[in-house]
Amino acid sequence: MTFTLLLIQILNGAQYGVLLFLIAAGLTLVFGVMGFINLAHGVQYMIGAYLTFMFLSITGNFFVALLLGLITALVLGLALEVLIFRHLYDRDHLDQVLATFGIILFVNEAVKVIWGPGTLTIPTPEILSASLQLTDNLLYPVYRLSLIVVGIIVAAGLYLIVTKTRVGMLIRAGATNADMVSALGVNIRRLFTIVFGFGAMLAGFAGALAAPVFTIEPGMGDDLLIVAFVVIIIGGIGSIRGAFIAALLVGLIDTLGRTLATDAMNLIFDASAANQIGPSLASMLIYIFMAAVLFFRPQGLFPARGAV
Amino acid sequence: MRELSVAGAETLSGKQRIDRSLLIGICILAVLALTPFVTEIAGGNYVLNLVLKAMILAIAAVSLDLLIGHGGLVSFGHAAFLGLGSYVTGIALTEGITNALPVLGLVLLICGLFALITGAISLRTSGVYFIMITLAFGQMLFFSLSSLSSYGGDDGLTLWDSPVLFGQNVFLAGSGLFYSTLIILALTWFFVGRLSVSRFGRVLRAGKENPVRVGTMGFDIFHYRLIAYVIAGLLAGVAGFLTACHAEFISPSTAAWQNSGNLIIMVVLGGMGTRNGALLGAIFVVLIEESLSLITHEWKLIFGPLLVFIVLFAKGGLVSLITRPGGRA
Amino acid sequence: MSTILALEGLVKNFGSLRVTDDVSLELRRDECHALIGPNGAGKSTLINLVSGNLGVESGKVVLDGADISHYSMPQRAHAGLGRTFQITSIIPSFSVLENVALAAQAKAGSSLHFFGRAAEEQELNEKARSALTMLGLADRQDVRSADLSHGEHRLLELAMAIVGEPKALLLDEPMAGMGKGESETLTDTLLTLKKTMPMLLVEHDMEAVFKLADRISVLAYGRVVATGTPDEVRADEQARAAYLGSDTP
Repeated sequence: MTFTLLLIQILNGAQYGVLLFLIAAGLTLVFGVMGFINLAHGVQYMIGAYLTFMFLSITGNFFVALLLGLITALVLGLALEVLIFRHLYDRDHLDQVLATFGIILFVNEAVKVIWGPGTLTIPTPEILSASLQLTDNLLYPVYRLSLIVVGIIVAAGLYLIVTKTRVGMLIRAGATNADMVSALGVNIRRLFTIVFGFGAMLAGFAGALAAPVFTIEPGMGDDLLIVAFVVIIIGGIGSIRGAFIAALLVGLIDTLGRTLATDAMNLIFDASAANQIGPSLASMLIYIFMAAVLFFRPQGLFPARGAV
Repeated sequence: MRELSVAGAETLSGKQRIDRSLLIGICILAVLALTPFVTEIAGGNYVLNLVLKAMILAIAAVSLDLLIGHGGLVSFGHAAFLGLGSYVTGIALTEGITNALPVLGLVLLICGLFALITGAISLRTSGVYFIMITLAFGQMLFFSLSSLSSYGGDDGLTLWDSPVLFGQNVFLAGSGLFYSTLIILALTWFFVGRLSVSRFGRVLRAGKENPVRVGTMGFDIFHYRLIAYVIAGLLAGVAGFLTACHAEFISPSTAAWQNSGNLIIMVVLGGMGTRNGALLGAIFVVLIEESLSLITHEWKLIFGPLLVFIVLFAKGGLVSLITRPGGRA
Repeated sequence: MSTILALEGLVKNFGSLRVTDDVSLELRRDECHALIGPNGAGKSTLINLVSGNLGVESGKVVLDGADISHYSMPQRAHAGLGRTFQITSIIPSFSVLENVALAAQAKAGSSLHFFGRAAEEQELNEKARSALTMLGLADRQDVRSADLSHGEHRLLELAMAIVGEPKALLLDEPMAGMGKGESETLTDTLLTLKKTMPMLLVEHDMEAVFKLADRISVLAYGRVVATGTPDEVRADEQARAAYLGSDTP
């Protein structure tokens, strides 16, 4: 594989990783602080993309659409929390899985009804639609690069919030011992709602950012959600730092893996077999990685107890 | 001097409860057995196929209940066995193996191995980690099946033969398959019911409530859970075999995680850990999904909130509606 | 050999806190050996180390001559160790009889039986019933154990531990939360039990301790500060300091 191809794959992997992080960050906080398994987090991502699409067709400006989409996604997320999710925090995981599964069914269908079952696309915003000459042979889209940059900025911001601010400290304390925090007089209800809303917003943000790059379609968040769970298990539940590093690792392993796997299989098997086994093996890679982490270090690479 | 116990302490007389639930289960199976006759008069093939679909899923649901209801192991990847079973069947048939015995043998062997390996890894975790890792293994299988391009890949594969047992077309879609499935369902239901009250089942059920105590008594709960996991995987694999025979088509979507979720819904709605819960749940869910879809194409708009509603307000499951509160069906 | 259970140099750390500090102890075949000490001394931790609920960092646990230090919890149960928990740990949805019968089942051959109704196995039920009778719970045998009173829970705990006829019994505050009458009854039961089952008893109830114990060890800050007969310990300087503080005359 040429250097150019390798570089492209690394960049693509980083971009995928960044997107995964934005989704996983909300997921890991919600699960870490509230012990709540939110399968419906994937539809938050999807809602972000659809809302951006909708506002774009109304306003014509990507960034305005992004902002409006984010706010609406936040409001919807908070509505879900107040109406349904907060009644599930005390229930066992099975109940949470079933209820959030019901929400996935509903929202995926609703989206189909409103926008139709087909795939939609958004063009990349004008300013960012150019490509940057990275090397002699490589032209990489500016938009994708900015995605990576934005992701890193958000990660840094999140890390600062969680480690340096008072709210962040409460979040970390809540992740370690919610009852204690509540007993100390903190309005744990409000804290949970803030954490949840913030997580939903991040997921919606990811969806909006991803819209110009990937297609928009019903169920687009579901498979990503599972990968996000893989990320937080590898990174350590409740840990932002863990989510970031694990997300990048998973993004890179998955992207590079897909190209390398077929190449590697070509060395052993003939072309047709390699083309079959290669992608198959590639899709297994991140799960094998997760299984290995669970086996050797079940609390994750950067467990949240005490650290972030 | 001993304190008086808390008022309202419940006395159990196990035998009475067991006999009643046995009777209910047999009634359900009897009703199912009559379906082909009923559909001759009204409903026709459409209803027959619907009931057949429900019975096949019931086998998978009963096997999942062994894990969830009896073992406390919430597997979110059980549909993987349905998918694996159906694919082993489909591939075998496509490659010319039409004798049911070797096909079933292969299904059991491969599903058993998959269950053994994934179970051995997954069962080292518990709680949400277990849910996630079973989900992940399910996904892994789903993607693997999707990438089998010579067997249809994403689109799936039509099957042109059906397995033959001792020269009889007992697995051919139609009344042959119906009765074969009914027999397998009856056997599965009976077997899991007996398993539940056996020594093995008692350890498993105790481990669901208090694994530490069970370990202190002297049981290595991991072994019991792994055996349960393999048994459940084998049974669901057989359900996958029947799925392939019924649809005459195999598709990776059989192993999709949404299908795993569907199975969990059946188990929980029916009543976890009860003798007839999974059976009722499967029938109920298939019928509900079908009737809702007749009302509107967008039936999930109703089903989704219904699910949320049931979780929030009605946890005992269907079985609690037909027995006295506090009883076990 | 008159020692049935020997703890040799047990060490356990929780992070940088040394909870069990080089503890050595022996339980003789015919004795009740009580373990007392102020809160936080590490008594429950010690019991957990012996039963296998926690792993030791260093040191040995020897039961009837066999080194069980690296045995898993279930393996130690089969080697002959029985224990009760400080916080009642039973199977709530099972009846009282079934809880004890299950404990008996663990020692009665293989449980890889997939047919046959376990609840109808007469031998197991008989063994369970005699353990329950000894503790005065026999007439509650069909009650769902979640519905028992606290005192009855503590008795059930004990029944489950003794039905397997362990070589050595570890009792972690069996009288916790019991009223005076109940404690006295239990103490008498333990006195009878002591004759056939050596026990390591962690307790705060001093009346029971002095009635039951042949020897007492005092644990403070994770280490044994005194061992001896009840009279010896009562008079021991270090033991008193551990309980009352070092400015005792």
